[in-house]
Amino acid sequence: MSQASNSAESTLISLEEQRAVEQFLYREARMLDDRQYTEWLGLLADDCTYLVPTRENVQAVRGKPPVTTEDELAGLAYYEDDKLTLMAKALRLGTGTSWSENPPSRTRRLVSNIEVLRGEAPDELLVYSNLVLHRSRRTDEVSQFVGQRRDVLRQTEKGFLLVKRVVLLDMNICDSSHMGNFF
Amino acid sequence: MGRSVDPSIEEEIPGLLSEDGTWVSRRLFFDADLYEIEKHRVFARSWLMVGHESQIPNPGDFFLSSMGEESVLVVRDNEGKVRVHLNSCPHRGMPVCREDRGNTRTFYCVYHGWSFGRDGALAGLPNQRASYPKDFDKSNLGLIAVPRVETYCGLIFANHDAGAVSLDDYLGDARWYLDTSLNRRAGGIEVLGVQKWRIGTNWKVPAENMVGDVAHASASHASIFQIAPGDPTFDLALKSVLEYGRNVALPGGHGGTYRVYPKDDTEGRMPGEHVIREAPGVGEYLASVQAEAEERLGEVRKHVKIATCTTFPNLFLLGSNFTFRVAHPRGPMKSELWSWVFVDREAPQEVKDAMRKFYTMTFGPGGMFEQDDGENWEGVTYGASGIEASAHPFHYGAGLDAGPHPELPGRVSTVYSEHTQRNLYLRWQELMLQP
Repeated sequence: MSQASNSAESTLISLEEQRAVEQFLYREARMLDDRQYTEWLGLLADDCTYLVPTRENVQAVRGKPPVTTEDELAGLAYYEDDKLTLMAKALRLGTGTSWSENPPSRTRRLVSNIEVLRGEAPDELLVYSNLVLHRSRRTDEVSQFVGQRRDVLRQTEKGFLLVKRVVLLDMNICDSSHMGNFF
Repeated sequence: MGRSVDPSIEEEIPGLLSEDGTWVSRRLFFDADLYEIEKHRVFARSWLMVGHESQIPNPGDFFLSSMGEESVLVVRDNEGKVRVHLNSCPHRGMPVCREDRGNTRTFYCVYHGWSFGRDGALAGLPNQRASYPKDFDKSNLGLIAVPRVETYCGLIFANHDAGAVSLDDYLGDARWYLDTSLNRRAGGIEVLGVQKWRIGTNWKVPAENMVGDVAHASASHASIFQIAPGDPTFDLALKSVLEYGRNVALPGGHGGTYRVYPKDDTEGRMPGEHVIREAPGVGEYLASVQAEAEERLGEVRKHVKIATCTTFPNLFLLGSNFTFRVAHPRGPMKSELWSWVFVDREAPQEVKDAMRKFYTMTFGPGGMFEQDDGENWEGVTYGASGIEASAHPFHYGAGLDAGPHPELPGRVSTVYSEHTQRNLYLRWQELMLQP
C-alpha cells in the first residue's frame, strides 16, 4: 500500500465523509469489544483481505536513508486471512470451546489519528488510523497491542465495507501465547 | 543469567522420575535450580537447531538465533561455510549484531568499535597502535565460535560440546522419520520466515506435547471440530488417527506421532488437511511430486507422515502444517517459540503461498489450533508450581503396548500412549545425572 501523499488534492475529503469513516471505525471497535463477531463479519467485503505481518529489527546503513516500515516486513505474518478464514476464526470464538478465549478476555480498542484519503477505486477510501488494543485476561494478565491500521473501505448502499486491512503492530516478538483477538 | 544452585538438589535428581518414567515430578516444570542445571547438562551438550541454510544462501548472509538463553549469530563466511558465533563482543560482551537478519562484511561492536569478519576473526581495533604493543596477538580475540556446526536437510544445528557425537549419530533414527517431511524432493526445502512469541511455560511442556500427545487434540482443539459439524473429512481424520496413527519412541529422547497409511492410500487424512489439499494448485502439485518422493523415500516410508515430533531437546516438526519450531528456554516458566514455515524449494509460488496461509490460519499465536495449546501449556506450568501441588508427581502411564515393529524403527505403539513422553523424560534425567 502506498504511503500517504501530502498533496492537498488527495486529501479533499468532506467533513461528512471524515465523520462517517470515524463512526464506522468506532462502531466496529465496539462490536469487537462486545464480542459481536457475527455482526462484525457483516462489515467485511466478500473480497476482504486481512494481514498482520511480523516486523524484524533492521539496522540502517550509515549514510543511507532511515529504516522504513516496509524494510521491517519479513514476509511471514501472524494473520494472513481472507473473509472465509476470518469467518472460521470468528465462528470458533463462538463455540464455547476456544479455550484461550473462554472465559473471554476483556478488550478495549482505542482508535485514533484517523486520516481519510481517496482510494485507488472511485468508491474506495484509504484510511489510516492508530490502534491501542488493551486486553485483560484471566485474573491479572494484561497485554497491549499497539499499531497502525491501513484500511481500504468501500462505499456501498449498505454503508462502508472493509476491503483490506493491514495492521502494523509495534512489536518484534509477540509477548503473549495468544493474539486471537481481531485488530 | 548464571546463578549458583543448592548442591543438595543433586541428591534429588534420581527421584524426580519413577524407574520407568510413569511418574514425573512437577518440579521439572518450574524449579529454578533444575532449570539452572539444565543449561549446562542438557542445552550445552545437545545439538540445538538454530536455523535453515535457505535463510543465509550467500556469503555474508546472517541470521540472529538462540542456543538456550544465549544469542548466537549464524553466518555464511566467504568460503560458503556456515559458522555460529556467540553474539557477544570478546572485549566487553556487547552484542555485535542487533538486527534479525541481513548481509554484512563485518560485525561491528557499537560500544568500542571493534569489528569482526564473517569468519569471526577480529578485523579492526580502533587506536590499536596507541593501546597495544606492535606484536599484539589478535588471533584469540575473535568472536567466540560455537565449536560444532553441522547440517541435516539444510537444518543448521550447533553444539557447545566439542566432543559431542556427530549430528547424524545424535539424530539416529529420527532422520528416518524427518526425511518424510524434509527430504521428499531433490531440491530440498526452503523456509518462508519465522514467527516468534512468548509463552509462560517451561520448554518441556511443548516438547512433551509434540513428542506424541495425541490425547490432547479432541479436548484442546474441540472448537475446530465444532465449526465443521458433520464434515465427513473430519470424521475420516478422526477414524484415521486411531487406525493409522503410531507413536514412536527413539533412542536419545526423540520421538513423535506418525501416520502409517495403507499402501494404496495417497489421500490426506489429517484433521483439516483437505482444506490445504483443495487450495488452488496444491492437490495437483502434491500428486505431481508423489513419484519423486516415493523414489527417494522407498517402499515403507512413502506411506509414513509426521503428525508432530520432537527432536531432543527442543526442536519440533509438524508435517501437515509445514512448520518446524524451537522452544527456546527463557526462564523456568517462560519459553520463546520460534516457528519457521517450510515448503519444497521447487514448488510453484501459488503452492508456497497456499501452504504459508494454511500454516498461519492454523498455527502460531494467531492460529486456530495453537492459541489453545498456549492456554493449556501456561496452565500446566502454573498448575504444577504450587507448594502443595508440587508434592504430587504427574502420571505418564498411558499406553503399555509399545514394542518393536516389523517396519518402523523405534518402540512403536498406538496413539493414546505416553511412552514417547516417558522416553523424553528418561533421556532428560540421564543427562541431568551426568555432572
